[in-house]
Amino acid sequence: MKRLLISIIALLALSPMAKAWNGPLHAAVAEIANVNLTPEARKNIEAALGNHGIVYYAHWMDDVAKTEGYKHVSKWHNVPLTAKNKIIPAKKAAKSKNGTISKALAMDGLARAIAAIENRDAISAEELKDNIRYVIYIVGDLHCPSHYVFTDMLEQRALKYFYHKEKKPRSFMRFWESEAITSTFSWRPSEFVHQLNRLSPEQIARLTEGSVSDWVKGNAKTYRQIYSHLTPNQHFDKKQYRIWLNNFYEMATDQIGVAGYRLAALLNGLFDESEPKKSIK
Amino acid sequence: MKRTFLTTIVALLIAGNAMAWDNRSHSTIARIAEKHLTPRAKANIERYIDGHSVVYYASWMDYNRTFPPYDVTHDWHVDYWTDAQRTDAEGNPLPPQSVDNIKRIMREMSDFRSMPDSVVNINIKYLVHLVGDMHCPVHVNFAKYRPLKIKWGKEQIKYHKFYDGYIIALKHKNASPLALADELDRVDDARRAELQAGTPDDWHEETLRYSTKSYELLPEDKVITDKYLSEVAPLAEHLLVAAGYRLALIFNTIFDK
Repeated sequence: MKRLLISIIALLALSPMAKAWNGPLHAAVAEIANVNLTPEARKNIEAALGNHGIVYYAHWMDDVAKTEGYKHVSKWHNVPLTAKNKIIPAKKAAKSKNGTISKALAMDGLARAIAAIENRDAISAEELKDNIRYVIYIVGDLHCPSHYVFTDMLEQRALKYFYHKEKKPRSFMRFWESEAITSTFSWRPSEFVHQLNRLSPEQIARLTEGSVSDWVKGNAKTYRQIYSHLTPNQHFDKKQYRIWLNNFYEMATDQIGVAGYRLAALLNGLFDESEPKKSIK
Repeated sequence: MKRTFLTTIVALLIAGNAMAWDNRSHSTIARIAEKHLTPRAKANIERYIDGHSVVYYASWMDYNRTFPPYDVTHDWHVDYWTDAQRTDAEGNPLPPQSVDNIKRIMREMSDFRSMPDSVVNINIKYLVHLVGDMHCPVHVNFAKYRPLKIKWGKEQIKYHKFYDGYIIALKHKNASPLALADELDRVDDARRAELQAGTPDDWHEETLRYSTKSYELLPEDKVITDKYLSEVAPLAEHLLVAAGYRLALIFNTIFDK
């Protein structure tokens, strides 16, 4: 019985419904990025990753989050923004008395990782490997709406809703990490590539233009709107839930593709000298 | 114990997809069809659905069937809804909803270029789903099977739900729709042509036969056994493949011009 229980818990943890953005959805982002890497970038990255591709490490940052030496990464998931969608600098955010804001240092983590990769002659092979793995993960998180901490809407992060006959409310933030997509599509990473990796070079160029900060500010305009679709403790029957879900799933799914293209652009700039470099600001 | 464990796994895998073939099966059908589209048909179709693949819209009808303006399509997924009229005022039989709508859309779409883009778009979404549904054994004889319950492990569930999601999920636990489509799409050209022969009415008759056979295979006590699963899974797989090829034929007929 104990073994069965453990197996079920493990399955829940692994299932797309339970941990999607952390597992299959991060892998989907990395898969799309992988097919958009230049041969030169892929060769250099895979050499640095010990002959592994970027998909292999898609959610590595989660896997090591509780490991000694990596606990700092727990602050590298979220981005704090002002009411005008301006990114709050890490130094200022870190001083906030509000834990949600002070721990929202994803942009700082990404900036550090990019800077380390740019100066890779000065770091060890293991450090280079870690920093590539940070980039792979953080760019994914920067395209998940619940990872945007709007400081004028902090109370909205606690929004919950009730589904069907469930007595325990579900978290709206968790919804964005999985159900917003997986309640509609039973896809694996290969399906995400098949469905989303369809843009023309011109469309990709438009999607990846600007700096990482530009991407985040652009995303913030869209992501801010998600909160207008829910009232506190809203109850949904199955039909109402489906109607509500229809507001989000296409936008949420599209973010996987957008993240993949941008991750590729960032990595191509870092590992292929012929490609334009992407800056944080 | 093993049964409880598998029930839990399958329930997790198909959660949220209890209506009609689940998203994985519908996506598999759409993917098989997509593999057999002519380049011109594929390009024409994708132009009308914003560059998406037909797989993207495999379950779209399920997600929009219960509310305006698409609630009019609610009954199209099955042959006859439970309270549906089966004859007209003169006592003549009325055609099954799914097949009737497929045939109507095929007729209307024969001149798709003269139609508004939005109508072509919606008709593609309808076809990709309805052709799948008309090959689902619990969507024919729907009124008979709807109240039926079976026992799977300790769980008592609707036969409809079990057929739609569990059978394929149990047989192909780890296969994604792309992988499953590749696995099932393995017949030669002659066999594929054989499967594509006939009309939607013929295909409906075939699904009825498979539906009856699936039902007859059910143990009397309605407790699902491994034997039942091993006998019924090939029937479900056949219908997924046949639906995929026939959907390709319909799309190629409409859009390869």
